[in-house]
Amino acid sequence: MSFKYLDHGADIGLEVTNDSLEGLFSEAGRALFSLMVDIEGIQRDESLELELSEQNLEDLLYEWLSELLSLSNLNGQVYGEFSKVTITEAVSGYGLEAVARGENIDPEKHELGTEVKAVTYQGLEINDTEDGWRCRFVVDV
Amino acid sequence: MNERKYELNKIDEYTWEVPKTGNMRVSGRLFVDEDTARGLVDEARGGADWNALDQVINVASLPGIVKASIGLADIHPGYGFPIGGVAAFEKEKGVAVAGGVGFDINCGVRLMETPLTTNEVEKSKERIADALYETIPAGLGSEGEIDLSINEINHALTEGAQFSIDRGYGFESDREFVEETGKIEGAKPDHVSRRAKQRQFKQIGTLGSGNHYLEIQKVEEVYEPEAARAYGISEDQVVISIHTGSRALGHQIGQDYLKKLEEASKKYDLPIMEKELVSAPIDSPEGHKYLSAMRCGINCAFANRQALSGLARRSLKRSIGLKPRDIKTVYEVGHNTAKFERHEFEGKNEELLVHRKGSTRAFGPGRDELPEAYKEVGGPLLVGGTMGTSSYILRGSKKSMNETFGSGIHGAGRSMSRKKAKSKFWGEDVEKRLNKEGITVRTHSYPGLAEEAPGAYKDVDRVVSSAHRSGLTPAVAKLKPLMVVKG
Repeated sequence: MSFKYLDHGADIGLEVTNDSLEGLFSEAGRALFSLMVDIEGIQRDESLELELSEQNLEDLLYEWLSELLSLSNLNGQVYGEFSKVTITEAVSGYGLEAVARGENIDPEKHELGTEVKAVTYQGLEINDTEDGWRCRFVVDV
Repeated sequence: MNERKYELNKIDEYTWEVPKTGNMRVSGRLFVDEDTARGLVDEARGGADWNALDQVINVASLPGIVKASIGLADIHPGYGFPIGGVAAFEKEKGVAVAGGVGFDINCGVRLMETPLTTNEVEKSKERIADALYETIPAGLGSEGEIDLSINEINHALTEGAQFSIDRGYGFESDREFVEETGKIEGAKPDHVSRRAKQRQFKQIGTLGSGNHYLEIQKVEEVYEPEAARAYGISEDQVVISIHTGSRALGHQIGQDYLKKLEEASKKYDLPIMEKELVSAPIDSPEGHKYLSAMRCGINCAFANRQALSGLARRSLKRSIGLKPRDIKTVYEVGHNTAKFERHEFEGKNEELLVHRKGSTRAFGPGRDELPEAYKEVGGPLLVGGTMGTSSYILRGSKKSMNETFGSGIHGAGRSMSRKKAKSKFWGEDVEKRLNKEGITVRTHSYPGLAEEAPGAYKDVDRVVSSAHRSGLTPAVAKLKPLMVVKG
């Protein structure tokens, strides 16, 4: 697991690290869903295609997580695996394509954690460090 | 922000001025005790990148703010606005701020009274708790029993509490005792995204998770008999508290408009001091749209709490045969709203846009908006504690009208992060400890129970004591939980 929980005031902060930018986004998604259920136990029965574009990487990360949260709630599903993640850089900004895989939320099966109200911009950052990519974000629960 | 000195002037034991410096258009006012004031200054001076004092100063720098940027006794860092923050803006020159309402639009508390005493429920506690747990949808992914179409959702967003009453959840008589009589005007569903509405299809009548709860409580102590009598509350009486908000619809409106108001801030050249402190002029197309969408969120929360009130009544009927009509609404009031209200300030009497982020409306005696029966004593504030700790009923006063645009505290305020809480408390242990204190718990999430452990919150008694002693919102009664249902 390449993410950890941070001390962040009233809500929950997360820090994610990965060698690649694509891996970072994938792990950030898993970190988000780890607050809701035990992600290792999620089946890959359902899939969801996402396509996003934003002007910078911070906004792309925010949009990625917000979109996952929103779709998870809309579909009553949780996602534990993100494949075919591609991030492209263009003159106008960044584009992201990915496939999320998961299953329907089942209180009988999953040990339920917390419902997340929103991903926030508070302390949100994404950096290319000497040790690889790192991002931090806080969710409102 | 580095040039900020964070000096406070003491006005009295519970009032501190943040002097107007830099870009501030008004001063700040903190209604906190000395320890809290020192803590806020220490955090800001220590360079904490997320602290409430900087947020009070940022809010004071927004266009059209009048009188002061206010922090109440339960103040802690929020998103853009501090939680426990109040700010009022002129209609013509002022701004509407999404961060001044937050993601859980019109989150609030409904309090209902029963004809029962503590002894009468003692032997039926397990049965009642089971019925509540089975009847009240709560926790991640839970769905309500009302399945809506897009047209019906639109109806809920304009009708508020009445929408649920029409479907058999509660009674017409409830509405008199709900803020805005459970329906705020000026809600336009056209300004709410389809996604937000779709997310709400099955969420009317659901509790949610996190700090939301339904509690059966007893009135442990009455401090002001006259006000308690007006509210229909007496010692040892059993009451029901429901704490929740506008659910996914409100969350999605908050998310959608953050982006729209960021664009508006740039368009109208408004300061963006924090990414979540974006705004639009009140009198602009973007401002109008945000406010009318936000009002849909307000009505959605009214509909939700009304439906849950119906489900709570059903549970008590099923478990102990209590007649639904014998359970009466004492009051329902939100703590994340922005509303046009008339206030006197600096010799003027104007309609202002009052943002309350983690702050309860605290109208003093005589305000037209209050139910007839409460006009003489002032409106009730319902202050939520946490599992195992007390909740309180406070009331609005002349002082809250004069000093805080009729606003008061809303809860205890967290003192420990959820990560720390999880590692320090185990859900099962928390349950055992509460059981020992005579509190029956039903939860859908043990990790969630640990996060909401009472020790993770500031001492609610201390926060209420500040709010009471400051004279802003005198304490009327103390409520102690007997049963807790959590998501």
